[in-house]
Amino acid sequence: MSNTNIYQQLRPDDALYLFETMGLLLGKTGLAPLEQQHSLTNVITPHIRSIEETLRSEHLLRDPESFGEHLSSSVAAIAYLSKGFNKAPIEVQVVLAETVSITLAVLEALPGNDRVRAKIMILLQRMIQCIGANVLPTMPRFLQLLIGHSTTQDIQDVAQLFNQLCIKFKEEAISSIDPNVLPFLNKCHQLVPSDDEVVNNGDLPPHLRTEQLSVKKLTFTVLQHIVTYRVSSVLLSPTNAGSLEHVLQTMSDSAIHVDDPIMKKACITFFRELVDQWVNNGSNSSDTFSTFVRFVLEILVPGMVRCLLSPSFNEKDALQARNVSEFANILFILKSRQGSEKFEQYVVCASLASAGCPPHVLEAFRQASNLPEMELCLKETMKVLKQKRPG
Amino acid sequence: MTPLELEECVLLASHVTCPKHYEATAMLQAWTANYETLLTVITTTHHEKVLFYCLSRFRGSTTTTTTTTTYEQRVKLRTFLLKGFSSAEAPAPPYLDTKAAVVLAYLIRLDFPHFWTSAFDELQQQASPTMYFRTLLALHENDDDNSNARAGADQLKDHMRSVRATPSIPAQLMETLLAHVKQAAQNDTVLLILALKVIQKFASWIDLSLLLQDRVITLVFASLSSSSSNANIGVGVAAMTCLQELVARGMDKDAKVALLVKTDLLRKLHQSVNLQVVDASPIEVVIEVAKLIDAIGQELVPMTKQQDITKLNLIWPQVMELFFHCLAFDDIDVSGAVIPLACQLASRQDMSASQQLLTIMFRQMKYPVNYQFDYENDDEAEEEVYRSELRKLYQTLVRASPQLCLQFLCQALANLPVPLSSASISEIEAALRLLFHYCEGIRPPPGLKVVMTNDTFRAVLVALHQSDITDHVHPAVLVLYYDISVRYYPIFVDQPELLPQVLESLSGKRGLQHAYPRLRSRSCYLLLRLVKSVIQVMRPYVETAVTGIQGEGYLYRRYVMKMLRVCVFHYR
Repeated sequence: MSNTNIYQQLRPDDALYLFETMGLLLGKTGLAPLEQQHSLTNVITPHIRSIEETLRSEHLLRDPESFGEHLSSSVAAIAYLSKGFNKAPIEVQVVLAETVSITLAVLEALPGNDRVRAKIMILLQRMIQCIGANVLPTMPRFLQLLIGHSTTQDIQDVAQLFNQLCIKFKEEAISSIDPNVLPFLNKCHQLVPSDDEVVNNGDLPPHLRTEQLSVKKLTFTVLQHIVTYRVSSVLLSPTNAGSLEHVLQTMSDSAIHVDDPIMKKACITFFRELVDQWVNNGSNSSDTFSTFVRFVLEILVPGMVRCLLSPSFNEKDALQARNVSEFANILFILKSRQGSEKFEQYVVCASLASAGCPPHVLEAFRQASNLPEMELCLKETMKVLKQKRPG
Repeated sequence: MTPLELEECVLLASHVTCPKHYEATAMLQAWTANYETLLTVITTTHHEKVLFYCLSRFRGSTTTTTTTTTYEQRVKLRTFLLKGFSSAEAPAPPYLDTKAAVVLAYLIRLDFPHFWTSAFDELQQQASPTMYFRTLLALHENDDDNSNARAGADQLKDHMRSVRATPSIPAQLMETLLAHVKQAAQNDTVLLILALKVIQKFASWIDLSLLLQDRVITLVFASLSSSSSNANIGVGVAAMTCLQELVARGMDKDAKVALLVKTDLLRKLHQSVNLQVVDASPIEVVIEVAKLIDAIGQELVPMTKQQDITKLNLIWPQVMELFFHCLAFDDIDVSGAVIPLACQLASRQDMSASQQLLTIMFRQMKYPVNYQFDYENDDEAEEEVYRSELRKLYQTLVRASPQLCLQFLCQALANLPVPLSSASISEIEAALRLLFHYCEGIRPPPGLKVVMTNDTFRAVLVALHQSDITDHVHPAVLVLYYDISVRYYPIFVDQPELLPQVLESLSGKRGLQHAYPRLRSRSCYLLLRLVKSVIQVMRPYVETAVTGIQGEGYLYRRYVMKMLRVCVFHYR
C-alpha cells in the first residue's frame, strides 16, 4: 500500500470513459470483424476472469457491498466497451454473448445488491442493441431476479427493460416477457405506498401520492408497450390468462378515473390496441375474445362516456384531446367490426342516449363512417351536454 | 397584572438562569396587553429591558395600521418619548433609542395629520438629534414591506407634502437635519451616518431642489472624503448610498444629465475616492462607487446614440474615465460591479473603447500569483464567479468585433515567451482562455463552424499543437489545452498529423497518468470526447491507444484486486 502508484489510479467512473473509448476504437475505426473479435476478446477476458475469480471467493457473501462494488464495475466496463458496437458483426456478437451468461452468474450471486442490479440493467440494454435476439434466452431469468429484488429506486429501470424488449423484438419477446408480466405487476403493486399511510385528515402525503402515481404509471406504460408492439398474446398465455380480467379492470378504472392525461392516454391506448387486435369482423370464435368485447362494450365504453362528460374533463386541453381521439378510434373499430346492431345497442342506446345525448347527435353517431366523423360526434356530444349544465 | 407585577415578570423572564424564568415567560405570553398598565410602566420604570419590552408590546404588530389604544394614551406616550425618554446627560443606548423611534413613528403614522397636526414641529423641536433621525428612518421602514404597509407609507408622504406650510414639512425636516449635523461633534460618526441615511430615504420622494442644495451636496461629499480613514468607512458607504439613491431617482434622461452637471458629481467623486491605488480608499466605499458608475453609465449609454448629445459631451468622458478605473481596479468586487456597463459598451462596436476593454479585461483575467486552483475553496469560488462574468464580456466583444478580438488573441499568444512551457501560469492560462472561448461569441451559431473556416484562427491552432505546450508543468494549463483540442477538433480531421502529440500526452504522464487527480479524471473524459469527434482518422492509432488504455485499465483492476485481498485478509 506504500506504492504511490496505487494512489495515482483512476476513479471507477473515469475508467468507464476509457472502456468506452476502447469500444469506439475497436468498433468504429473500420477494423475487420476478426480483428475486432480478437481485440475485444483480449480486452474483455481479464474482466471475465476477474468476475469468475470473485464469484469463486468463499468470502463473497460476507461482504456483499465490497464484492458487489467490484463485480458491478467489471460488468459496467463490459457494458461501456460495447458502446462502440451498435450493429455488431457476428464475430463480435459471439464475444459479447459470452459476457451475458457470466453476468447472469453475477446477478444470481448478489441479486440484492443495488449497484450490481443497476449495472446489469445497463449491460442488458446494451446487449439488446449489440447482439439482438441472442440475448432473449437468458432474459426470463434476468427479469425474474431483477423484478424480485427491485426497489422503488430501480423499478423504473426494470420497466424500461420490458419496454425495450417489446420495442426491439415484438413477438419474439413473448417468451422472455410471458413469465414475468404478473410478477412485475405484483411488484409494482407492492411498491405503491398504501393509502393507509395517512397523516392529517386521512390524506396521503403529497410526496407519497407522487410516488404512488409514478409507480402506477410504470404498470400502465409496460402494458401499453406490450399491446402496442404486438406482444399481446402474453396476456392470453396459460401463465397470465387467469389475471386478464383483473388487468382489464385495472386499466379500465384508470382510463376512466385517473385525472393525469398522460396516464389516461396509456390506458386508453392499451384498449384501442387490444380492440384493434382482438376484435374481428363478425363473431369471435374464442370465448376470451368474446369476453373481452363484452367488457369493452359494457364497462369501458359507458365509463369513458361518463368520464368525457364529467366537468373535470377538459376536452380543450391538448393532451386530453388526444384521449378523445383514441376513444373515438375504439368506437369506430367496434362499429365497423361488430356491426351497427351491437353499436346501436351498447354504444348509442346504453351509453350515449342514457347520458342524455340529443337525437341529432345520436343520429350522427349512427351515420359516422370514418374516424374523423366519429371524433366529431364525440366532440359535439361533449359540447352539447356540457353547455346544458346549469352554472 | 399590575404595573409592578408586569415589571417584575419582565425582569424574571429576561434572566435565563433565573428559576422563575419559564414561568414568567409563560405569564407574559398569556397576558393580554393592557395599555394603561404598559404606559405606567413605560413612564416610571428605570430598567432598560422592561422599557424595551413594554414599548414593543405597545407597538404590537409592525404591519397593522389600526390600534385599540385611546388618543389620550397615545398623547401621553408621545410626550414621554419626545421629552422624557432620554437626555444629553443620560442618553439611551442605541437599541432602546431605535425602539422608541419606531414607536414614535408608529404614533405619527396613526395620528398625523388629522389628530396630531404638529407632529413634525414637535419632533423637530423636542426630540434629541438621534431620536429625530431614527424616527424619520422608522417612518420609511415600511417602504419595502407588504403592499398595505407601502400604501400607508405613501399616504404619509402625501400628507407631508400636501400640508400647507412655509417652508414645507420636507423642507423643514431638511433644515433641522442640516442644523443637527452642523452642531454635532466632528467625530460623531453615528449621527452623521444617521443623517446620511435619512437623506438617502428622502432622495426618492422629496423635492429635488431640497436635495441639490449646496449644503446637502457638500455634506455628502465631505462625508465621502472623510471616509479615507477606517474609522469612517460607514460614513463613506452611507454617503455613497445617498448618491446612488439620488441618481436612481426616476426622472427624464436630460434632467438626469443636468443633475450630474449641476452637482459636478463625477468630478467630486473622482476627487473624493482614489480609484487607482488599492487600499488608498476603503474598499467598501470603492465598491459603492463602482456600483454608482455602473448605474450612471448604463442610463447614459442609450443617449450616446442620439444625435444631440451636447450635454452628454460634458460628462461622458468623466464617466468613461471613472469606469475604466473601476474595471481595471485590482479587486474583483469593484471590477465586477462595472461589468454590466462594460458589456453594454462592448456591444456598441466602438473600436477604441473595445480595444481598451479587451486590454483591461485580459489583464483582469489573469489569476493572482497565489491562486491555487482549489475548487473547494470559497475565496477561489468567488474568483471563478468574477471570471465567468469576464467571459460574458469577452463573448459580447467577440460578437460585436470578431476581427479585433482575433487580432488581440493572436497578439496575446505571440507575446508569450518561447518555449510556451516556460510561460507563467497566469499569462498562458489567460491567453489560452481567449482562444478557448473565442468561438462562443461568433455569429451565426454554431461559432465553431465559422471559426474553423478562418485561416488565421486555424494557423493559431496549428501553432499551438506544434508547440511544447504539453510540457508545461501546471495541470490547469494542460487541462485547458486538452479542452481546446476537443473543442476545436476539426483541425485534427483536416490535419491528422497533429494528433499523435495530443493523444500521447493525454494518455500518458501528462494526462491519464498525471499525479494530479483532477487532471487524470478530466483526461479520461476528454480523451473519449476527442476520439469520438475524430474517429474517422483514428485507425492508425487503434493498437497503440488500446494497448495504452488497457494498461491503465489493468492498473485499475490490480488496485481493486489488492483492495479485495485486504478485505479477505480482514475476514480471516
